[in-house]
Amino acid sequence: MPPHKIRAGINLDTIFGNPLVNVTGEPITPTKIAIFYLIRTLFQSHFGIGAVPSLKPFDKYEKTKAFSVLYSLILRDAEVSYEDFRIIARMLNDELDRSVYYHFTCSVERLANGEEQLEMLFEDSFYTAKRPTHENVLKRETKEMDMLTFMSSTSFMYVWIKRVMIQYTRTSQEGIFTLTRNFHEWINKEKISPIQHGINVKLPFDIDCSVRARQWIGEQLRLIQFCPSRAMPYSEIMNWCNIIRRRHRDVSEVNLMEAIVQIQLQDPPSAVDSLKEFFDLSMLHLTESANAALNTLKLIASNPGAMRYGPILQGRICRIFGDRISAHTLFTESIQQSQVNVDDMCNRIANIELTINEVFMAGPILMRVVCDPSKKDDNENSDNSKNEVRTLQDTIHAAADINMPTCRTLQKSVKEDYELHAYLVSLSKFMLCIEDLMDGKYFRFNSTADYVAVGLHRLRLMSDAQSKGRVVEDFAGAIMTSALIQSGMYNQARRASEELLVNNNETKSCPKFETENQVVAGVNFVYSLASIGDYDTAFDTLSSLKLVFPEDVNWLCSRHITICSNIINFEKDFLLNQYSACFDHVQALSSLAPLEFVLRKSLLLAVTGKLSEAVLLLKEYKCEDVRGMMRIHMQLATIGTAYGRYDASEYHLEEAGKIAINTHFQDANFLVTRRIGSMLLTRCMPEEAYQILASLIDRVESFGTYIEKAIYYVSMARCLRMQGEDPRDFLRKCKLQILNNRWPAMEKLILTELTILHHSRGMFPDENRMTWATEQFSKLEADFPGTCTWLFV
Amino acid sequence: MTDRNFSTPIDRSLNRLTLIQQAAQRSGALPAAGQLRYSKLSPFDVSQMSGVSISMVERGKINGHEYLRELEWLQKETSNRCFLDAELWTNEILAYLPNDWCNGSDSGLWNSGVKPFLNDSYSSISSPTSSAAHVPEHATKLKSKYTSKFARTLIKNKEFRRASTFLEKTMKENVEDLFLYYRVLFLAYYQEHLENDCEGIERKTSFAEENSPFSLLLQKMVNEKLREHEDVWFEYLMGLLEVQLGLKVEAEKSFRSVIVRDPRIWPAWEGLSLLISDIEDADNFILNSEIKSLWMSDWFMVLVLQRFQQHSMAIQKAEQLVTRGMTGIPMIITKIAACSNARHDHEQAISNFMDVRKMDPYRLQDLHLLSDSLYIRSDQVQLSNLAMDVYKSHKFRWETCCVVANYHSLRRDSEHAIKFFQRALRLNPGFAALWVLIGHEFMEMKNNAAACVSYRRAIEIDPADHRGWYGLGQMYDIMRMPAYALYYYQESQKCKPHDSRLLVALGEVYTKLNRVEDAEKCFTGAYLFGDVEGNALWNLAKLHEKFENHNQAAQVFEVFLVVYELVTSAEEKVIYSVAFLANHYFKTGNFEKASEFATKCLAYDTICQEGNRLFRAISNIQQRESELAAREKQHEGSRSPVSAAEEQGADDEMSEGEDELSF
Repeated sequence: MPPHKIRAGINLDTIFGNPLVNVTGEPITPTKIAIFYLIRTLFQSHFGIGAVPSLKPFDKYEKTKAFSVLYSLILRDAEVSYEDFRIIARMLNDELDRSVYYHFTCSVERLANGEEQLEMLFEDSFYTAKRPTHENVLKRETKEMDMLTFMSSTSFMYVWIKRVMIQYTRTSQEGIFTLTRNFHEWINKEKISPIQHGINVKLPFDIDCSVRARQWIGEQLRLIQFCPSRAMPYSEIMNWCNIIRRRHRDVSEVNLMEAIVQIQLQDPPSAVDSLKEFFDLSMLHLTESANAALNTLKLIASNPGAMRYGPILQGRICRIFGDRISAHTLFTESIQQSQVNVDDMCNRIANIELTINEVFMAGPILMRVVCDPSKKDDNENSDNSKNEVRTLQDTIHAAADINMPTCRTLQKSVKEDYELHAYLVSLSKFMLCIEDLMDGKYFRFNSTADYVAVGLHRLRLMSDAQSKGRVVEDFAGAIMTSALIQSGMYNQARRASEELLVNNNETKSCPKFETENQVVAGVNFVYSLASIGDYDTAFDTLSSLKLVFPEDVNWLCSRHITICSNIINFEKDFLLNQYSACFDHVQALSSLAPLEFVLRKSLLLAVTGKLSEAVLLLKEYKCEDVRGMMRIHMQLATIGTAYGRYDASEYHLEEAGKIAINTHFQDANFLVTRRIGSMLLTRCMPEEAYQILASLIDRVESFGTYIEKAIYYVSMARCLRMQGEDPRDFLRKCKLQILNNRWPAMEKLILTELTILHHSRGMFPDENRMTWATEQFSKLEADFPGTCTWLFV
Repeated sequence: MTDRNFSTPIDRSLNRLTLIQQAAQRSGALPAAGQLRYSKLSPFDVSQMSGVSISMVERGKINGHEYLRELEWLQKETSNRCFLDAELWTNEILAYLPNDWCNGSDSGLWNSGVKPFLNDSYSSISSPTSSAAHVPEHATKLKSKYTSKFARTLIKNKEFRRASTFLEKTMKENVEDLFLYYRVLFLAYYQEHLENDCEGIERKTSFAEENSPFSLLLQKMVNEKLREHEDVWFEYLMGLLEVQLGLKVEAEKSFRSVIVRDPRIWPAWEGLSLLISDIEDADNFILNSEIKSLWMSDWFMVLVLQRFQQHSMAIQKAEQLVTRGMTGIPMIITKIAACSNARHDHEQAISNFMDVRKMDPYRLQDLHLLSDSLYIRSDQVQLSNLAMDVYKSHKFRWETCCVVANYHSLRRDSEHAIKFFQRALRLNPGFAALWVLIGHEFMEMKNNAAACVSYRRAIEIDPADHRGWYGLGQMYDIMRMPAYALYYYQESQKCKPHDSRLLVALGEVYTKLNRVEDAEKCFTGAYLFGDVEGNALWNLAKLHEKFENHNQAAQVFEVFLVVYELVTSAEEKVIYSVAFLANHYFKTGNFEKASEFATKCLAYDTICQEGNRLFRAISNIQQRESELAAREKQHEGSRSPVSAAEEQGADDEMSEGEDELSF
């Protein structure tokens, strides 16, 4: 039968260059040449030279000694002088004898004298550990080949030797002349001169070869994402990336590195540019099938994975910089490609990204925003497509049980990482629970509750080098602290934040994390401190956070600090009636936290007499967030109360109440009810107000900030006074909340109440006390003029 | 058998020894009997030893004048007849002319007192004494002249380093040699740079070294203050060095200065055309610097315009030169052809290239563009003829490889096409278009990964070439990833902002992404920039139709009809447009226009019925309206009520058996 003729086809290696040719092996220096010769000498001592077998091969103990010295030489990142090298060889000789020092020095001196040429090769027996048959017969050796094997082919040393040899074979003739000259100088003149030209040129040790360059890139990528302050300065990283790009053409990951750095430098076009270059160049890679390579003698294979994963990362960049629509389209494209190519992992990742894109729609703040107007025509389809996505996700999750990693029937790639898989599943469940959090639904009456529990409590901790488990855990912790703040559980939030921050320790494999999880926990800690009026500690904490998360290094995290700082400063200055300072603080929030900006700006406008502007600002703001809407209604209600527009106030409080009932926010009921009480009190209905307010006595302690508590207590005191009962207990409680001049205006209000109480016609006439109260009031008025705006809050 | 001559063993051995000695003598290993080892051998002895017998008559001293004359004649002849090797040989001998002969020695061969061939002393054959007590000035000058000429011949033979050693001797004596010395060093470093690069041919890594020889040379020239030298070519050479070192700003300044000092130096114009930042800058430079250039400034503008993709203006400028008298010059015609090719006017390009080929059939410059045009026109016959011609005469030129590759590509033999493109790249690695063409071939073979990397290589070489970006965009677009492809289309459009094809592609992607306004801008822009492929208006109209902006769609369809109504290849689109407009105006109640377009419908078989239906519908409506009007007049007079049902019933009448054509 005639042989089957196969057309050779196009050899991509010849067109795009043999991928191994572009690899930079171990750069050759005189020290490395000497190490090479030392290894050869040791091998010959162990095995024998040519036809003369060694009388005494190394045993295990001797090999350990020899190799420990060799490893220490290989792992050094600096050159060793010839004299020091001889000392090392002498040390080896003392341990091993066999004239190792003599043979080594002879071989090197022959090179120095020019009697021999530089030759970085080993004899066959180094690889085979076999003697020719006739030698075996003569020597009558047993077949215990392990005794003769000098080093394992999978050992680090072996790989190092191969890398040196590949570098040597690819060194040009001029490069070899330069090496020889340098080597002579190293021996004869004890001079170590770095090589200035060619592929063995001196570079920073961390990036002087392809392997170390990749390692460096991996390390820096990890540090930038988890601990940016420990990474190198970005300008230096970019310089090193330029060197890698010029010198190591096989390291296409350098483009990915540049993309990440550009994100940190807030340059999205350059980031996208670099990212696309990375994915485009990754389309061809070294084949993973050794059989195919041996049969076809071709090393390059195509890698269409780049087409699926490229849109995901580009979409992430779009999302980070606020272009959610483009992000959505790109993630969808990735899903399509992964479904066409049956890549389950990519499918999962893209789906999760889609969900994240929908969840984190307001930048640093976790809240729902109004959809893009261009998508309003697709409203009918968006629900269907959302359900489809959700169904697909559920299907995938159902099929891939996190507890049974071997039964992942949908996985396609053999190399799928279990940890990545578990991470994705955890994350997907967690995203669902975050969506519920945003809607104020902590306890859904369906299986989502299970997701909530799974997401927050049942995350699997893995001892993975990539720290994925820790990241998800910290993420859950940070979201939990936000949820606690959202519910008015400030003490719990403080404890949870503190725990997260305190447990952020450095380990050998993992630095101290500096991610958004930590900063969110940090700012929630600050909010919890502010809730009890401890502004000093709060500001100290903020200063520490600013040092750890500087804007030029970690802008994503510093946004949270900016928001927190402005909010806390606003609150502090508002209570001191310093409205012009408040306007400055509020302005900084306009781009980062629009809802916070609107609420605070309207408050300022209202207290400064611009009622219609304040109301218009609130009404014009389109809010889709549940808690946001509730807050807007409450704000409109309190403004109405302060200005005597009780109808409007009633309406808005009713609306706020409807929202509060349908959510699981722990403090929602309290907040709305308190404001109803304040409104009734303002309408001179103390009995009704007292009835309503009295029911909140337990909740105010659990869920109220010190401001809310102060207002509550003063409201209760006034109710009691107006009903002819003793209000002093509540006045005392109110006073305890506002110590240290935290709220001078409220203190003046208390003093006013006291003055009324101790007036001659009051409940407890006491001229001294009354005088004292009026004097205190005057002092306070002089230092902190202005009325108390508690009705607006 | 015993040898008669050697009877006993001792005799035999002795005789054997004698034979050996004789043989040794013959071979010259031993001196002849009676002669010392190092004593001079006579010619006779030599001939005896070697076995060759020739006339070894002693000849007299060579006459210097004759010697010189002979060699000078040979130098002239070999130079004129382009025997480079012989010219080099001659010049080398002249460069080492003995000083005596530079003087004009009196001991001539043909002097009367000397018998050249009779018993002259054996010592007559001796090398002339090279060190004379005194070398006259004119002899030095002569020798210097020959040394210069030798150096020039070495340059022609590309032995630059060697030439520099000789020029070093003469550079102080004349300015030209001084210039040549630096020039030749530049060429030597450049050659060495290329040789070093080729050792790592796969890597194509440029190692930017701190103390490159170019920088040292430039520094040396700066130290010698050669920029201010009256010979302006020094400054030009420094400009070349600055280009090599990547000092583009300085290089531009140098070239500008050279041109101002002497506008006849075309290389400076050419260098500047590659460095200048924009067209206006180039124009201002020519106008403001009061450069008195006869025609080179115009040619310079042609190159600049071409570089900045202003091909139409470049053609105009080139044609102006032709009008001014520079007719029949292949360089200009080729440039017009190249610009036509870039404007997608392939008929013109082919015609121009063919004219050039008639004038100069073996001219290879830009011929790859001819092959591109022939490929686009699918002219297999001409392309195969071209491929055969160029392959015969220039087998290993990159242009040839490109032509042959296009030939194979047209025959759908992608593998061979890629092979030849690859060969072209080996010969000319810095040409981005070759990578683009390889990418296209990989796309034909459905090897997207290889195509992607090819396009990336093109972009690496020349980020300003739109084709690499466009190729990538197209690839991802074909893979149905419009959002991912958008970035590449945007980049390609930035490279060539006035190319309608790129704008149309960008518009189509925006349409897929539902970015209506952006798509509209792109299609409108494409139409305003010429709409080379004739689909900008159509796409714009369809865009409006898709998003139900019927009025705007109608406007665009009308413009489309005005432009393309008589174009045969667009008949289907014309038919669609006519039908759309007829129905649109009917729906909007503009019956006059509806009638007009209904009339046009009748001209096409496929929509003839539609036209008729519309006419009937229009006439029905018009009839009803007139009846209504009449009734209303009657009502005004008689005031009799008319049943609403009757009116309604009349309104509901429709033509029978015909459905509305819906869009």
